[in-house]
Amino acid sequence: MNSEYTYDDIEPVALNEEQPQLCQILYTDQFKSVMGTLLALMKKNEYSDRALALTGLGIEILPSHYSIWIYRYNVIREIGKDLVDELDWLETISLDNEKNYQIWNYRQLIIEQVIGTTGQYNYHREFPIMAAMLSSDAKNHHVWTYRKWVVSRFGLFADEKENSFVEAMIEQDVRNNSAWNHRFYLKFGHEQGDAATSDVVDEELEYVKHKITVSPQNESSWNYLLGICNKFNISLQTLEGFCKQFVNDGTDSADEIELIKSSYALEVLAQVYNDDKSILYYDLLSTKYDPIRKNYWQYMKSMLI
Amino acid sequence: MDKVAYLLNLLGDDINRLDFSDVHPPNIYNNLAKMITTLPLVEDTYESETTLAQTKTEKSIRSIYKDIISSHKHFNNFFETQNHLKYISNSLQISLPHHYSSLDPNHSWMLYWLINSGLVLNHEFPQEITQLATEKMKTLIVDNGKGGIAGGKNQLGHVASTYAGILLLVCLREYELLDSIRYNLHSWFLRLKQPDGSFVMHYNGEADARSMYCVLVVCSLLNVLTDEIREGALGWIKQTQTYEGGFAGVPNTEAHGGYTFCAFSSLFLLLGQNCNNRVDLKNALQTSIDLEKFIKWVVSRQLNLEGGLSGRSNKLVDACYSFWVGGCYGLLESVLAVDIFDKQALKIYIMNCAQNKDGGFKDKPGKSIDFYHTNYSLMGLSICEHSVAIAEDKNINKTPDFFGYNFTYAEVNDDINTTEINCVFGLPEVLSKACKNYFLECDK
Repeated sequence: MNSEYTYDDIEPVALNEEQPQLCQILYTDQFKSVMGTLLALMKKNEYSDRALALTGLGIEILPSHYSIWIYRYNVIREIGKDLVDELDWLETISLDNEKNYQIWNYRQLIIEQVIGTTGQYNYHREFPIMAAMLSSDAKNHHVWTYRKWVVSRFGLFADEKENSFVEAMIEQDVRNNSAWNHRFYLKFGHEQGDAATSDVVDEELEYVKHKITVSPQNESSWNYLLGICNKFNISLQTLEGFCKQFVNDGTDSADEIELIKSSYALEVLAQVYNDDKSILYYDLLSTKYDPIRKNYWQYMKSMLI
Repeated sequence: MDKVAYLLNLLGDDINRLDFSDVHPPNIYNNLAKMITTLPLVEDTYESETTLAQTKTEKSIRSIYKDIISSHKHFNNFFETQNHLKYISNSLQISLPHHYSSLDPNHSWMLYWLINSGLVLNHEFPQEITQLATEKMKTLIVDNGKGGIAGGKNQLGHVASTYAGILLLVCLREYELLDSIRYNLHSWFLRLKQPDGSFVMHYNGEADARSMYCVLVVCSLLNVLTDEIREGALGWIKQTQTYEGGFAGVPNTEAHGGYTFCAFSSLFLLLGQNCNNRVDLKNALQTSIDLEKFIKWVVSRQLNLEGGLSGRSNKLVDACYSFWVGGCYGLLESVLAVDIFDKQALKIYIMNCAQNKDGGFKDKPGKSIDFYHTNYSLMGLSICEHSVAIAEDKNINKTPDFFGYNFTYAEVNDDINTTEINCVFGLPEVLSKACKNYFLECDK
């Protein structure tokens, strides 16, 4: 319990304690007392400094306790807590809780409050905490989802720092699929994305092709390449020359296609050719280069016209 | 020779347990030999955090598979039904140590994971257990459902806790209780609905593919899937398909196995109205989403060496995706009328890498077992052991959720450990159907 405040007047509510019950948890006394008191305060809709202090303790003990987050949000609104202090507090909680759903939604709520009351928010504040989180888990789904929200909320599509950040993440690990997805959003996700200049498209095609040569068997970069082609109706025929460098293909005999550096290149070529060669390629994928997807390659073969 | 060894293995456990006369363990040697030799053919020497983690996981799994081959067993580890049931029953009945307090906001989930796991294994729970389960669920329902269902007593309602709680009550066939809260839940969901068609998890909560799926499932099972609930849902889901082909939690983020399952299975509860058969449904899917790209993404989740599934591009295998992604395979199999993934290979992963001999299932070798992975591994196993199709039905005037209830199943061979599960709901097929039929009758 927080020593600054007294909660003696509050009778803690029971947690899941009836006997017998299934999945009974042997709570510690501290857990029972903190959570029981919190839920009791919540029940009587108390919005006070002592309630706020106890939500902090409760979240520290169990950050995935969504009821406490909901309650805390109501408390800070009712008592008019300083929102910047709230963000400070939130950052200390975030670093220890990588897989938490609540933190990032809560952060959005607070920032919207700040904007609602002051008309502005200095989004630069967001970068250090996101960077710290991604440095311990470069593919943290919650953080990347939050990052996408920051980009869209503050219109950072063309932001130089944001673009170089994502570039650095890909540089560091060309197989970081989250970074590739974020890049796709930065380059093509803007409302006017469909009107992205052909320059950007060309630049990105060059960029991703280079990254594919660095690591040819990389699903992330191939998906990015094919994603661009699909979005901007670029024919796969235009990739034929590029793909061929990963497939030594001087002959039609399966035995002699030995030098394959990328099963993805073989797959694109199968789609480009759409003829007997495609059958050969799908069979090679089925039997040799990607046999776990045999059923899928046979399905693709059956779709050939 | 294989058969003898297999029988000896069985005998070692419990001689009275089974009738052995028709046991034909499938020989998995060819699969394994292919799985452990595939990857080196494609050379890519790039090194990073991703490749290091992948190599480490492959190493542990390759050694498990090599051991099977070198011991001349040539069949999967024995499926420890009794030990899994013991794990389930102990977890329900024996008090859980205090570190389980981390699951204190997840009581409805715990009960669903455990009870459903038992049912997937065809277990009949004794009445004292089912009664206790119902009693506990009653303590989680907030204000007769007007505030949803909470994850623990005296907590607040949450859409995901509600989903788990309703599934549990469907498992328990507590239809009268369900009937007493279904209209209140429906009104609560409508209060959580956003202008863009999505739903928030609770007031001031997040809206994503999970909340959408949970609302649609609950409303469908309880036969309150009204136009107001469905309004804007399809349009919102469409926006979450990414350039990779899978679905993300919210538009413009990364495709992910869990969210992809939520989005794709939701479509089975939304597209039925103007469809008369499988081909119509396939066409409806093709107009709603990029189906070919979706198929490509979803089959790409299966890993060559592991046989198991990953949740995102360039991420590691995890047994829970045996259901989240495996469920999409089941649904696709029904729509395309072809099997598009390697069921044997996934089964090999679940049986030999995720299964704990003493009961329970884990994410991957080196991790610990838990309720969550146990439930989703078992449902994944069921998907491997059955083929699923859409039944022919001449009846027109179909409801939007018609295709959630119109599957037929067949066993893929005679080595079957699980019952048929419905891939839309994550429940044994008989239970989702029985619940829906009950409320269809009610509402006649």
